Amino acid sequence: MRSLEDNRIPTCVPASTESTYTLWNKFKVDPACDFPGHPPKVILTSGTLSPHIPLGSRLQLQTHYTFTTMSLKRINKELVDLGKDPPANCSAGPVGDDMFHWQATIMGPDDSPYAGGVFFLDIHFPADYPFKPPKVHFTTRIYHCNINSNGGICLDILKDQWSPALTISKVLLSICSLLTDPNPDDPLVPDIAQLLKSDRARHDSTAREWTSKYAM
Amino acid sequence: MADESQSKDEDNTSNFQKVQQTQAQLEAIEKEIRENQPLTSELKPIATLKAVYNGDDNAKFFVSGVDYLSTLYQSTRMTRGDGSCYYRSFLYSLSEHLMKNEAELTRITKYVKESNSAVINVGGYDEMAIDIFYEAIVEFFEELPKMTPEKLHEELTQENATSDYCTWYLRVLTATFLKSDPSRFLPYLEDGYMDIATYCQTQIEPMGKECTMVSVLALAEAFQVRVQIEYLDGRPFEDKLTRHEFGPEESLTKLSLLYRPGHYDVLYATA
Repeated sequence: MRSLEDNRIPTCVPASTESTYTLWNKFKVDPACDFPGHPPKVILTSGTLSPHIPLGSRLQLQTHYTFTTMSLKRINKELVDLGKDPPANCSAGPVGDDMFHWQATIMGPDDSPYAGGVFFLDIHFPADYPFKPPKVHFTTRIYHCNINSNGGICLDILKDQWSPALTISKVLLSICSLLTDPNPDDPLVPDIAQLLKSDRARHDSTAREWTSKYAM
Repeated sequence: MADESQSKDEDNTSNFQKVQQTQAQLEAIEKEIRENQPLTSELKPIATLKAVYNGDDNAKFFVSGVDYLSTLYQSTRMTRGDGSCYYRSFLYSLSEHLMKNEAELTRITKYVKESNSAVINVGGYDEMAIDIFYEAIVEFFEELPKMTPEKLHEELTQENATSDYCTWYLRVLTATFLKSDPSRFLPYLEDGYMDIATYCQTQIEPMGKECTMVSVLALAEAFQVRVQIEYLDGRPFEDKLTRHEFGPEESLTKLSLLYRPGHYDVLYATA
C-alpha cells in the first residue's frame, strides 16, 4: 500500500493533540479521536497539501505519520482490485508517482472494427473522487462517432450519470461496450454517426483503416 | 478532399466545445451554490421562509402556508440545493433525534452496521466501491452519543466530509431497499422505468439526483422511522397544508421535513 508520502506530501511529527502541526500546512487534531492511543485524525485547516487535497479534508495519519485521504484510499483499492481481478481486454495503472494520474489500455473488441488495435487512454482523478467522475480520454486516435479527434468520449457515466458506485474497471468495460456498440443517436462526431447509419460497411472499413494506422 | 476533412474536424470540435461549454456552465452553477449555501444552515425562524415570497402577488399560498407552518413549527434548518437536500435533511434530523433517544440510536446503529451484507448481496454493490462510505457512516453513528449539537453541526456542515459520505450511503440504502422488493416498487417509478436496477443507477446513485417520492418511502421504511413532510407548494389550501407521512406510524423516531418545489429542509416543532 502506498502512503501519501509517495505523492510528495510532507510528513510531520505530532507533539500533542493541542499543537498545530506546521510544516507547509496547518492541521488540527480531530478532538473525537483518542490520540495518542491511536494514530490521530487531523483536519487540514490552512495551506494545501497538493492540488488533490482540498481544504477541510479529513486526513488519517498512518504509521510513520504519513497522510491518506478517502480519495486516495479508494484509488488505492481500485488499483489493488484491478491487479486481482482485471477486466477482460483492459488494463490500467498510475503513471509514475502520481496516484491521481493513470494510463489505461483497451484492446479493440474482436467483434468490432477495432479488433487487433491497442488503444491508450489517459485518466485523471479529481480531488473529490469518487464523488466526481474521473476525466478519461483516448490518446490513441480512433474512428468512432462517440469519440472525437481530441480523444474526448461521449459517455453518460463520465458525466451526469457518474456515481460513486462506479469504478475505473466499470468505466473501461463501458468504453469497451461503446466500441462494440456505437451510439449514433447521441454522437460527438455527427459525420461518423451519419455514415454508420447510412453505410455500415464503409464506416467499418474506415474504422479498420484507422485502427491499423494508429493503434497497431 | 483535404478541405472536406478539415471542415469535418471543425464540426467535430464545435460539437465537442458545446458539450464542454454545457459542462462548464453546470460547474459554474455548482460553484455558485457551494459558495452561497452551507450544506446545512443554522436554525432559522419559520418566518425566514416568507422573505423569499414577499412582494410576489402570485405567491399568496406560499405566504399563508408559512403562517400555517408557524403555528406548528418554531424553526427550520435549510440545506444546500445540490440535489442531495432530502438525504441531508433526513440525516441531520435523524441524528438530532437519535442524540435524544438511546434505544433508537442503538437500533439504528445496529441496522446501519449490519447493512453492508444486504448492500452487497441484494443491492449488488461492489464492496470496494461502498466500503469507504459504509465505514464513514458507521463511525458517524458510533460517535453520535459523544457529540454535542455544536459538534454535530460542525461535522455535518464540513465540506467534502461526513455529510457527503453519509448521504451517498443513504442513497445506497434507499436503492438496496427498492431492490429488495421490486414488484412492490416497480409501479411507483416515474418516466416509464422498466426495472428497479436501471432506476437506481440513473436516479438514485448519482450524487446530484433529487430524491423522489418512492425513494422517500423506501428510506423511511429502511430505517423504520416516521417521516412527516409538510408541502409548501403554493397550491390553494383551506386550513392546513398537505402533509404526507411515510414509514411505520408507531416508530419512536418521527422526523419533520419541509417540501418546497424541488427542495427539502428540516422543520422543528414548537415545544
